[in-house]
Amino acid sequence: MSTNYFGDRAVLRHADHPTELRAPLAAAFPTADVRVGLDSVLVVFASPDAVPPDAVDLVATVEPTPISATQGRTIQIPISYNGPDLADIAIALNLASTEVIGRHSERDWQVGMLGFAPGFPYLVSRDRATNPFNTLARLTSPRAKVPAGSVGVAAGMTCIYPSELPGGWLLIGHTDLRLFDPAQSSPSTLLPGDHVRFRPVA
Amino acid sequence: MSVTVVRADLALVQDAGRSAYSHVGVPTSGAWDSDSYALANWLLAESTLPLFEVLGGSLSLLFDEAACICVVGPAKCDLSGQVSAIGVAQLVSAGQHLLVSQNGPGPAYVGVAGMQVPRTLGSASTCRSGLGPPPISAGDRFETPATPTTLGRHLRPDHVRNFTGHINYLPDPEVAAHELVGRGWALDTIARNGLRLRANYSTDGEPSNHPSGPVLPGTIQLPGPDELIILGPDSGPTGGYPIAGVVVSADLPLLSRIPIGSGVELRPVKLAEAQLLWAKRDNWLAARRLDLGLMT
Repeated sequence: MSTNYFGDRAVLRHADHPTELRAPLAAAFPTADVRVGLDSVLVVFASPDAVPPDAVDLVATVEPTPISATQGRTIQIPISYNGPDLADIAIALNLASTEVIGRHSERDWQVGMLGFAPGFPYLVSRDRATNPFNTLARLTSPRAKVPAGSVGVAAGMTCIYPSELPGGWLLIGHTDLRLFDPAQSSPSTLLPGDHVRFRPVA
Repeated sequence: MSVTVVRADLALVQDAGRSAYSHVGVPTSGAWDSDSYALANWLLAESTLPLFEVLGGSLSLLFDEAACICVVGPAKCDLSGQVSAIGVAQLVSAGQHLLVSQNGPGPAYVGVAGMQVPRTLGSASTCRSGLGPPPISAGDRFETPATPTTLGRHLRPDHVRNFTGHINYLPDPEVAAHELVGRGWALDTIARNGLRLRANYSTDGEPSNHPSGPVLPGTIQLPGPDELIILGPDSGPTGGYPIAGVVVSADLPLLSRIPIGSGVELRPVKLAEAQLLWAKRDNWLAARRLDLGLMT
């Protein structure tokens, strides 16, 4: 797992569970902006002269804070499994629609990162071996408009569109839960590392 | 006391941006040319004043009371029919119209001392993701409480750093340093979320399938053959395309000033040179501060 400069004012550290590094890195570098990816974390300093001389070593040696399934927050997301791609997903996975719904709602998802748009979560599954959604590819021709609240699946991950956006994920369902409110000081319902369970509603 | 927008073709409000929310997917935003942003603030004795960022056409403002204003960047400026200077803190009288027209590549900035703009997540910046005020349009009105004037402060005419044909970048450690060199890149499209450059170019290897990772403005992405993207201030904090490198911090303001169709030489540098370029940029800004009679 490497740690390197990323440009002249940031340091990138690769890690298996980068969400566990966010809080300790933010504590170690209080003036920096810590950005989380799916397999890496980026510590962004205000300018090149704000980067400590031994930044790479410092970032590489920060200890992660493990977030176990029992310790972390678990957010329940109410979902209607009525997405326009549910039938296509079932065909692609060679499952009945009810089985697709079961595999999605019984799985423990975790927020790997938020990106693409404010409050847009990429939910990953640590149990990769049994994840049936691994083989699903995104649409080759993305939709120009995906409605807010749409729940998508692709590449072993699931996502929730916090606002109307273009997008290529296969749409499995819809939630009425508001994910992002810029009027709040903590605007995002979900944070990196949170566990998520989808709870089917009619 | 207020200023009212009479006409706006393409203008936004920008300040220093919002960087505390990248972990929940919020773009940094903020003034595209951070050098010009700093100069306009110094002209008006401010530090994080929201400015109008004029990205196309004209911006016309009507003042209902006297105000101290400045214009920085490539623009023509007209005050109720009289040609008016750029890079100067000047008085606008009650009832006067200020007309600012873009006159060169990249943004021009219009500052009105004390202008109040509501903040969202700590910043007044407009972001294409929907945060902050919508793009400026006729009828918009902003309060301008009285502030001490700084009349007479002025910059030298050469107060904008212009693009001179090349952009320095730090290659990704996993990409050969010469990979992007000598390909004949040219600017195809330019927007605050990113620049798209085109060339006859394709990488040798298989298309890589990296998991999405964190990025920042200046990141050079390779979305496919014959093109690259350089991320701008309104880009999201994560991205899935392969990464070739990151533009040096000193050259980020120059990215906003590349004319469409212009050739762009991408010049790989090492970290020490990037740091030296940053120090040179600091010295350049310090010299402009001296021009304004300010301590460095």
